[in-house]
Amino acid sequence: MTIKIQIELIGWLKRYSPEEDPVMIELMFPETVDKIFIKAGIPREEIGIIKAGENRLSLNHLISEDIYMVAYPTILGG
Amino acid sequence: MFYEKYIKVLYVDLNNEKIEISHRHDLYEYLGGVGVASKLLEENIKPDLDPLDPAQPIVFAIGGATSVFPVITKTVAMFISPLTGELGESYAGGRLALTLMMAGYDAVVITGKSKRPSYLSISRNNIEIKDARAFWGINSDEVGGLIREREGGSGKRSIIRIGQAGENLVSYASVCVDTYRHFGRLGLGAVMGSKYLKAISVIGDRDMPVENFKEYFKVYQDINKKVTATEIMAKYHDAGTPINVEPLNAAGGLPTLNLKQNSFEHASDISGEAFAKNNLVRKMACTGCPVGCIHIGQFRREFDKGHEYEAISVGYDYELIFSLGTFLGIKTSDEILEIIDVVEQYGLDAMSVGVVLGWATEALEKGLVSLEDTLVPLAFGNAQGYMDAIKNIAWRKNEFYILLGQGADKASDIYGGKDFAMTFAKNEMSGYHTGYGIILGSVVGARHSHLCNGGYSLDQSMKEFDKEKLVEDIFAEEKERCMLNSLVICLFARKVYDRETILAALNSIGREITNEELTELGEKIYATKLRIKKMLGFDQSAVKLPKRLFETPSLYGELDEDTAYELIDMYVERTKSLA
Repeated sequence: MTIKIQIELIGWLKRYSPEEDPVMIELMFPETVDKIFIKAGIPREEIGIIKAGENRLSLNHLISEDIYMVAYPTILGG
Repeated sequence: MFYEKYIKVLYVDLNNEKIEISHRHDLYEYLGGVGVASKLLEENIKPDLDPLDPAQPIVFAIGGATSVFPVITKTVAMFISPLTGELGESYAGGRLALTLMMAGYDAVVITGKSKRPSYLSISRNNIEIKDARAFWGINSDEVGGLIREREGGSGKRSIIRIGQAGENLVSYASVCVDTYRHFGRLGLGAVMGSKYLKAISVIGDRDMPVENFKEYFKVYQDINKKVTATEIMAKYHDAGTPINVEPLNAAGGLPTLNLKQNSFEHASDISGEAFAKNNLVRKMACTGCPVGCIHIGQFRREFDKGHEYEAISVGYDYELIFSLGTFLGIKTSDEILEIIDVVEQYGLDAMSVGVVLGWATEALEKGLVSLEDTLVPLAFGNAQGYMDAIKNIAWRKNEFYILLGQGADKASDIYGGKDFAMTFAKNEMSGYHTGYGIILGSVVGARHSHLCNGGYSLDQSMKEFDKEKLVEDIFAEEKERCMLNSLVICLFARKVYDRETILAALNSIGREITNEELTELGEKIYATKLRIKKMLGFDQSAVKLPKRLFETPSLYGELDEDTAYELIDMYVERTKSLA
């Protein structure tokens, strides 16, 4: 069975999907957030935090149903 | 200096106009930078005297590979902070590190007080203390031009100077370095002002032949490729740190209206993208850096009736947009640049002054102070009011502004409002309300800055909240940054300079050092800093946190006060292993 994943990219991350916003992916469940981002072609080191609604998701969080995620870039600074 | 097995220290005694040069073989093991500077500070401080007593030292130091590899561009300054009363440590880029190296000095120690306003002129074969009475009272931008005209000379030149805030001993006065860079934090400007030292001019003109050019150049090219041909540094050049506005705002980690809020409804008007689109006119780099992360923005100012305008250029970055923008409710990029310009002219730390004004605005709202005190109607979003207030701080206009000039902690001691005076151990907060990492990191960081250990970064990267891991990570990062800062590598490039790269760079210029020795060095420097802080009476366990941190949800969610204090206690225990 497939699930639909939508990823909204914030700020600098938009460069990884200039044509599609949010990024739409369909895949077999369950899958980790980490693998989903690999499939979306977004480098892990560029991702700061990931949220679904008010919840913060870790990269090893398992996704087993349709979801809308927001990905924020790493914060820059010294 | 590389190839030489000693640290060349220039001692300047302003009291007696006495100059000494010492070749310190005993300091060689510290590499340079903060390693050397912290030892020199420890040797010269007078713990029983006021931070602004003329006997207190200012120490500047560069690193053992300054300017010979990309992005190793900074100079460290160490002093006793008049803002916190303890360790003062600040970094600046520009041309200062290169010129000190080319003038032949690894470190400079300045003590005493001139009989009259003066400036220090440093070159390879001549050190002079010169009369600056004509420059006293002049803003930091203008005095740079005047000294440039007077000094002349050839070679690489750097001029660092203070504005009126430094002259008037505002506790968070900054030092301007080559117009667009600063020793911003913790009040070095006031320490220079207390010594009647308006400026320092450095001219360097010596050659630096490389012994094994083939090996050196290979390492140089490898590093340069990492800096320029990969994504690591690209963001810093592109829109720069202002791109933080958008994600921090969206995620709820952007300190707004004195941290009454964690996001700002006008954030999109002052985001990195907005600045780039509306104001960005130029990108600049420190000497020796191919990145060009200094973003210069321009705004128009009407200087006379009849549509007479001038274009003013000022540097901007994320921290300034936070402190003089979101924190004060300023809604346009033009207004933020205009406020930055006033801060620049008078020579203040932009972060501290913004956070201090955030406290003052709320204190006026709550009736803790009155318009009789503030003289101007401080209100979130009122840019003109803030510009007037900044001048009042620099000029110490009345009792209220004298206290504001000593920081939010001091002002709230007198007027109340401690719960919303957003400081960590008396240093005003940085622009990240990201979670426990930034709170713990700012409290225990040697200089109470986000730069000590990158607590905000750990808040993002931590997979699950784990107290022990957070304490351990901050402890490790603090030590690692002591090592990096002994070379005075720009911390933006910390991912470029991994251990392997550092060892390759140092070995290629004749400095044999091992990975284990780098680790030991970081620990030794951190231990020195902790000793200095203890000597000056600082007690991490006694730090009180403003309640507002726990009232406004962070990027991490709501934070628990007891957990924050527990983390501090755990960290204090952890540092005992260094004693």
